[in-house]
Amino acid sequence: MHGGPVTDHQTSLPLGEHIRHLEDQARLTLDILDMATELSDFQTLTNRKATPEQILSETHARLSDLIPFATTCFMLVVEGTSDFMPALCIPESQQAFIDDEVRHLTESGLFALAIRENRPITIYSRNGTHRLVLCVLATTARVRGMFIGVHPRDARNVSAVLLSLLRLVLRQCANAIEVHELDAMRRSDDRQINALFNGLTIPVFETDAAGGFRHMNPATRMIVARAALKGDAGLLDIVHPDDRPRLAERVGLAMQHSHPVTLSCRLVVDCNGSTDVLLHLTPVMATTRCVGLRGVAIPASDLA
Amino acid sequence: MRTLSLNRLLPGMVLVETVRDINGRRLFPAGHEVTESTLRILAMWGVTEVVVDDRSPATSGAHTDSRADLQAHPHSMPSPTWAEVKRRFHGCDIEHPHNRVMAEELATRLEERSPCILGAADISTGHVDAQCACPPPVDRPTLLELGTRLATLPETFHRLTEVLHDPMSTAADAAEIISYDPDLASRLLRFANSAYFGLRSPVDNINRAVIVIGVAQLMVIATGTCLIRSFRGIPSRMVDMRTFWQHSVACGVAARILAVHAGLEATDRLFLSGLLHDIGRLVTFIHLPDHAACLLQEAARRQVRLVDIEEEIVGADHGEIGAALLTHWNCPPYLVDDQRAVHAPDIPERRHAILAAADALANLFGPGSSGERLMPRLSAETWQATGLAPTAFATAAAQLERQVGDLLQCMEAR
Repeated sequence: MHGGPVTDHQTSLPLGEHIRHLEDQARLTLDILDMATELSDFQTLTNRKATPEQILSETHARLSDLIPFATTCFMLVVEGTSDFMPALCIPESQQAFIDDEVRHLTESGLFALAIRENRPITIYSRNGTHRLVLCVLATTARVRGMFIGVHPRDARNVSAVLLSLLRLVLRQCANAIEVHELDAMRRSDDRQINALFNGLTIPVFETDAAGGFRHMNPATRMIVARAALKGDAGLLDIVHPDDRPRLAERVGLAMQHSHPVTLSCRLVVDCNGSTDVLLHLTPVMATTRCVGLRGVAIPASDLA
Repeated sequence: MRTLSLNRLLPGMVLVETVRDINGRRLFPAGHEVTESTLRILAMWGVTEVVVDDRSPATSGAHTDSRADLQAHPHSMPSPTWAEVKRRFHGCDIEHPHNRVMAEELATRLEERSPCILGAADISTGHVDAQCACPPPVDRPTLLELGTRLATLPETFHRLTEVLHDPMSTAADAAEIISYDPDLASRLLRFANSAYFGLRSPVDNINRAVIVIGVAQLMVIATGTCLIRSFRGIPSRMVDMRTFWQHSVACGVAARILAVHAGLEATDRLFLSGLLHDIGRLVTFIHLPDHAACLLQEAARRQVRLVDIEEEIVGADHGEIGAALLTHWNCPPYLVDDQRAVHAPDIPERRHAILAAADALANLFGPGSSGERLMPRLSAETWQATGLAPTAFATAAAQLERQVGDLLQCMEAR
């Protein structure tokens, strides 16, 4: 607030001491900002694809330096059931105490209150012997879990600065867990797509912009001559030599205009033979640039 | 399909609609059969109501529960209870879902003989019973001038209000102002150590109080305390100030609770608006006791709300008088606007709808009274503008009872 009253502390200090006091304040602010930067950096964990358990262990280690809780418990939301389940409790022997408190907090509505308030709240334990600090583990979009820190009742209060840092660390922890979850979902989706891709009985493949194969499914390998797939084989190598000029021309146009192309051609098969297929190719776009092709070769016998 | 509050949900019932948390996360899909575990998880997330399938065996079975049955069929309530509920809801559409939930909660509490409900009605200090002819209404300029003579607020109030509305203000600013007022500081420490909002924590200085309960919340409580303290010495043959402030604090707490449920940001400002919502009525009670007596008598005789006949008997409604008073006190514009709008429930702006609903909650379930004996009449648009499900009000009523007692102790303690 501007123009606030001068405190007794300020008026009673000589100028030199007053300046030193202000310097100390400024240094403290810088130290806290440094600490905040340090504590909230979870990028390393994210980069090495740490599991939620590893992220929580690291969070616990950082928080222990900040606020030495007698007991620390992290609960995570189980995606399938929406339930909050204990994921880490240190020391483990206190898990029963925490379970009991959580039951009480749920019944009294304080657990839901902590979710709604989205900041650390401090309450007494059920039997009055401890103080609990509850802080939801949440990103801006999603609640990921709940942090519960336990202090003996006679321990010193946690300062505002420390509670703010606690909130900051837990927010970053939630973000790191979210990144892990999203990455796991992406990998799971990839696995499902690959399973689908590999399970198809017709040839399906993907090439780069130059026509070199990036992926092909087992059905492609079964049909096309092994000789045609050696080394840096590309799309043109699996097509009968007489059909290559026509294919090259159509592919060039498809890539230039970013539209799919369908043409009949022959694939080379073992024993110098060939098989008629209907080849359907779709450009793979990265914004406005064509970076490859996805193709399906439907045997003519299947079409008949 | 039937909407049930969580305390009436039973294992075996089947959800008809997807249940989501406050951020829209899907907790349970439609078709999920409720188990004991579901009940626990819903309570953890703070879900207040769900929609269940009427045809599932467990839902049909719920009708055998007497309380559920009472609530499903209010006309089956014992007649004295239901008659009292209907009397309080006179002129309201009791079949409207929100009114219905409130009526059911009131009936339940009347049946349980909740002390808050039974002791809430009377604000008068005896003068009301005297037979008197109604004096003519006072002209508006005189009324507004009377308002400015009500009380002088301490400097601390103005400085705290200034801090509350300065976006650059800090916890230290608030703590500094409060620490200059030892009486206020001691009340706030008591508050910080109370069970209000469940934030029990031993706090031994104002800086820590700011940490525990938050800057904005602390400043608003401090402001409210200043106000109550300013009116303590006012002698009056008309009004029981304690009863009046009990209702005011209950309305402030209810506004805060509903604002949290609604996900509104400025919950603390709503507390202050709720606290002050009837302050215009004090002008009538203190400076125009004959008008006030007539107002209370006529409202009882005609079975109408005070606000409906204030203009006719006093000369202006108390919202207008309150707005003039707060303008005179240089209060921020939002407080003045809220004064005018809280008793004009056809203006469905959300914060005003929340305030009107908070007044209704405080009127039915809170301690104290500002003289109104009937449930405030809220239009369907106002209920809708709150953005809250009907059963959220049942939850809020329970929270109100728990929270208001502690806060009153802190504010009223000498």
